[in-house]
Amino acid sequence: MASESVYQQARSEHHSPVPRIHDALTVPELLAAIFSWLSRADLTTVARVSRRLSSISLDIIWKTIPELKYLISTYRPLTQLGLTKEGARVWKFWDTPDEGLWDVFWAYARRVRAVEACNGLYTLEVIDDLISRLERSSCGPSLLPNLRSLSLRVLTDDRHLIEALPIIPAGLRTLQVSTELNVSPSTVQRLLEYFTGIPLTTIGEVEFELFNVNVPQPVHFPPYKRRSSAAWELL
Amino acid sequence: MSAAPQVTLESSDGEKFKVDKEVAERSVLIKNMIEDVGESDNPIPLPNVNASVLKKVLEYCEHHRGDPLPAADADPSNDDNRKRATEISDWDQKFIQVDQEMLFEIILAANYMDIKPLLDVGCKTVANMIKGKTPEEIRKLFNIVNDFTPEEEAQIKKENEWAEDR
Repeated sequence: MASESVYQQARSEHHSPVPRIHDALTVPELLAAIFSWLSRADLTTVARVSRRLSSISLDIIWKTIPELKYLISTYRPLTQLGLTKEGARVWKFWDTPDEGLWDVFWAYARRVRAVEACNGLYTLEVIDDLISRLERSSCGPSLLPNLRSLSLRVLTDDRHLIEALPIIPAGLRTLQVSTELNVSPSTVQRLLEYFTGIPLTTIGEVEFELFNVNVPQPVHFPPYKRRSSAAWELL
Repeated sequence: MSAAPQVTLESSDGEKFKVDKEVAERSVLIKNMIEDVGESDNPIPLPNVNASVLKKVLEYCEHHRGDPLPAADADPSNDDNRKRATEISDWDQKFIQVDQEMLFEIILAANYMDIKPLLDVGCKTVANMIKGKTPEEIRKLFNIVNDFTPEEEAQIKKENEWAEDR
């Protein structure tokens, strides 16, 4: 099996002229236009056809991701431990990260534009690990450098907020926070301010919305500016 | 009553096509050229489109001459729009039943001449050809050389499995 692609190359060199790929399928913009009509399932197939097609289809697949779990698992593989009594799957990240997988993680991370539901359920240890790896790379200050929209679910305690912050890049435009905590929106706001180091009333470009299941209406805050570098030290 | 204004287009291989201005202006490229240069009897050169392709493109423009201009919000990256991929009107469906070479030439021409609805019809048609196929079937269909090792291909499959049922 390992020699299959070598065989194909040899074959195409031997028999000439070989039918060639049409020029239209070598233009990235046209490939993107074609692939934009495919489902995610078909895009994952296209991603395995060739390097050129792969790159374009992966851009589309990873543009909006439902959660962070599968992204993080490209660096720190995920295994299913079993099911809870309620039938939900229980996942665990491998204890040891694979250093060799950083490039893989980064190739996917830089494609992400939107995260639909970041619920911060990943251990701080995993995030710490990724942050320290990031700092040793020349990849820049954020784990998701091209993220524009983030929906954050704060489930059980404020740690989830802390865990989510390192992924927020300078270019973020939309931040939504929903919470099931028995805390008032102003408490969550204060927490965000503490960890970002910037008062939410500061003028910036980000639209910030805070939802609390105990508060029927979303609370709108003035535009929110990204954290200062001081927030990194806090973390 | 004077006849509808006409313009002359010249293909890469020197063939001239005299068409109604309204038809030619389905192409944003030509529309802009006419606006920039003003009315002129000189043929408009299309050095990237040969006569057989241009004839086909003009057939599309003629049929759709009265259509409203495409809405700017028809963003295919929007999931709802993506799901409508199979929806091509009957006439367009028939029009685009051409060999693969012509299909891709039409796509290149629609892109160059900036005819968004025609580009969409072409791209949807290629997308429909891809749907449900295996990687190897897609390679065969479009003469694409596999430059992945089997290990790399398996790795990509694994990393993207989550997306298969989304």
